[in-house]
Amino acid sequence: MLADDVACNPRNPYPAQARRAPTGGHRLDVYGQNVEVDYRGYEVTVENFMRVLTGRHDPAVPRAKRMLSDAGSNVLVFITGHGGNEFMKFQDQQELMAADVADALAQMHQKGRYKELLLVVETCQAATLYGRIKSPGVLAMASSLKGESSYSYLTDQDVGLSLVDRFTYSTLDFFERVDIHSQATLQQLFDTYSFAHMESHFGQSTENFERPLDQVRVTDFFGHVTEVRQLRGSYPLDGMPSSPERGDGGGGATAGRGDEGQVDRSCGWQEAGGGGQCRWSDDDGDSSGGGGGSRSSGSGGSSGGEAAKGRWKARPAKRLDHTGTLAGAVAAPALDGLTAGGLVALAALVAGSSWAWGARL
Amino acid sequence: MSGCIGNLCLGPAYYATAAVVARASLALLGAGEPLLWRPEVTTPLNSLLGVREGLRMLQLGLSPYAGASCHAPPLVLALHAATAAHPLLYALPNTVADALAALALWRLASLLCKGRSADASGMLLGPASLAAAYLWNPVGILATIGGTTTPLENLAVMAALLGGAARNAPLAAAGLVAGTYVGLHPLLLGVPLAIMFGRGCEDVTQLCDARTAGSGSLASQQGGGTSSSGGGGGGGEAGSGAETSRRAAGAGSNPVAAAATAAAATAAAAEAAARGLERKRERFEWMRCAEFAVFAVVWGGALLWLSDLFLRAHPEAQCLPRLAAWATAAAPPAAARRGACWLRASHGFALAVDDYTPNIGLFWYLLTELFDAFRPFFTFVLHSHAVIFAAPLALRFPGRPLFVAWALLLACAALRPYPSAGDLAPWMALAPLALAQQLRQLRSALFLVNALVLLAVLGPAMWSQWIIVDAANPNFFYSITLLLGVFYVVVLVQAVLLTVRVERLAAGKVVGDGLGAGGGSGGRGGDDGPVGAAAAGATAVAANGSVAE
Repeated sequence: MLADDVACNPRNPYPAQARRAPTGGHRLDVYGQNVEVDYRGYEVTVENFMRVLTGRHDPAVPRAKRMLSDAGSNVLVFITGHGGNEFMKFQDQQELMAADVADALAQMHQKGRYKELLLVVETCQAATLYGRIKSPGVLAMASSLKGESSYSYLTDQDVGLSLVDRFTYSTLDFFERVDIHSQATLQQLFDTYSFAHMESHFGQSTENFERPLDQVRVTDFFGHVTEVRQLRGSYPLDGMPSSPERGDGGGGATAGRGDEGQVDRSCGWQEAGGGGQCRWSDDDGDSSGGGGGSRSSGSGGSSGGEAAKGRWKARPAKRLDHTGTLAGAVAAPALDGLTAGGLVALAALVAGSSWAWGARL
Repeated sequence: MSGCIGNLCLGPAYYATAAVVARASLALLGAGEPLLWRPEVTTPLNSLLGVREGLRMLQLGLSPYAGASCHAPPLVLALHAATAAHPLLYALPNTVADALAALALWRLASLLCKGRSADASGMLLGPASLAAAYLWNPVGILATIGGTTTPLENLAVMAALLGGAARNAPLAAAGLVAGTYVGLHPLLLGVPLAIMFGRGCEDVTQLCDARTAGSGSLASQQGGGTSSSGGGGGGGEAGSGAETSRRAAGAGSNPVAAAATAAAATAAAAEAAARGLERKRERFEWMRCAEFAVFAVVWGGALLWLSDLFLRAHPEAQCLPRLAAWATAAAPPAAARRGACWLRASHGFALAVDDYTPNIGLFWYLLTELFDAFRPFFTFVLHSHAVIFAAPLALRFPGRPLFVAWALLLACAALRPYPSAGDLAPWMALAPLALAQQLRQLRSALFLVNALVLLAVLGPAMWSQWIIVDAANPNFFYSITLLLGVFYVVVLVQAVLLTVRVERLAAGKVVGDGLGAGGGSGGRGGDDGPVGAAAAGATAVAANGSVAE
């Protein structure tokens, strides 16, 4: 969620960029190609923030705008902006209260939307924002304590503003020294924060967090590693059985071939017993005659890359349907006998009169 | 034009039949399918897809003009009713129309040649060859197998001109009315047709270079003058024309004798020609014009009534009740509130230029970039361009109605709101006939033919660059269209100048070398006509020999 009024601001001399300004140049564009903003502008409201956390969305909200977390997810919530005692400002118009945050996290816990959650707050008097949280598994960090302000850092001479805060700068400094395989712990991260640099006291709350901080890797929250296995079968979604005639759903390996939407999906995900032996043709070109069910449009028996071609050949040529088949419409003849007779009569009259006229001269 | 390969000689009839078979074969092979989407061949007015949609809507019990894509008149729909939807037989009505049009052209050419052969009458192609050439015209073939409605209009135009040349009022009126019914712009042919009825079609073979016909020209001029003064129509002219043709043939084969008499006969011929033309001008037969007009009204009313009969299941599309109510200042019928009648959908569409689909015409681009406030003004001006040629041409060339008709066909092909390739067929086919004398003077034929071929290549290329490759923009395509307009203008101006030159030659005002550049020198050479006539005897011999052969 970003108000996103920085990169394309008319005052930004580097359009579409937000360059962090370390001493000596504009090297790092923090608004780079891999920044994904889901909520921007007027969508950044307290209501949307709460909805994202709790998962209570209008049915029409697309999946890209939802946090699709479950009871096994580690969630990172990073809040930065203007704030004060137990509140944080949204767009200079609304305020997110500490009680709202606590309620949202309580709902998340009840709905099983996180396993562990790290809340990072960087506002003035940031530590007050997490003071009311009672949900288990929540770890909180703050850039300043009650009564303290958090400060910005390093004015950019071109823009005329500071593009980074002291807390964020310290955090980035730490993370630029670790990578995705790092074993660094949160305790090590916390130890790098110093009053001398931040000019405010770092705050933390581990009262709801069971694990000791020196056993929590930073990559548990600040990174994302998954093991990817490519399966050759189709995955039954939502507990529905994969039937032969399903024209939609399921993500087969060659789902892109489904030009008419009738791709055979009866892979033997269940029949072959866990091995995912798919008995329909895939890119490997394995011959898979027969298939688990009826093939689309009777192409039958063709394999591999020829499956698509076979389907093309078997289908009737898709030309303009001249005659048109509207279901249930009775095709009345366009030309009725009376008009046809009239046309013939008129033509005969013209021909006859012309002949007679020519004959008399 | 009878090709002989070894012992096998094929007359024009075989070529004509082959052309018809070629049309049928191309249609059967499905070559017409991509043409349905080519802007050069298909326009919103003559598109087969519109016809199919209209027919389909009729089958479904709707008025064909309830939608926005059918702009064909009702009887055109009726003619295509049985075949339009068929993927192979859709070109059948067009093929029949082309064959009939070729027949009409053959009759027209035979009539004007008065039964003589091509060489004797001084034309490039004989009647049968002309008809075969018409059938083998590539743009005609494209228009036919593309399923457009333009071949019907071409048939009507040919029939109208045949009727005019033969002074057959029902036929000419039927052709004119049918052409207007299908395409609206053949209405302009009413002017030359009226002249044809009032004065007779010009003898395209007779009013030629005085030196070419030699002594025969004097007698032919006088013969032409007397026969027209007698008002005998085609019969009288045919009689005198036969003997003059023999004399002309005889003179042409003997250039020396012809030249010897040429200088002496020039002055006399000029005088006789002037007298003949004066006699022609005096005897404008209004009765024949009136007969022609009456038949036009009768056939027009029949077509309108038949159209409404065809649409009797859809009273909101019928036009006669509305016209009657408007004429009698009565209240419009209740059905009028549900939409416009078929006239609005077909001819009103052409007049209002509702659709800016790109075509080879000049309207769409200009209208696209106009502000709405200027649309009516520009539409009026653009339509006027096509209409405005009729009266001046008829006034300038009162004795050449066939040429006027040809020029109007050319102007309409250039300046219609929705021209297509099929519009090129009539004037290209009539050129050897209507411009028989002018073509002998034409020096830039190679340039014009090459220009047309080049434009025919560049047009689709620019279209492809714009639409398919997406590397260009409409300006590329429109530039070729503009060049096509320039081409039309050049052809028209050349034709008019050549006609002026031929007229001056026939009147003996210009002798010159006969091969002067276009008609410009002919115009300027008018002053020294008598002087040049006496002094140019020697050059006339050489020029005469080359021109006659």
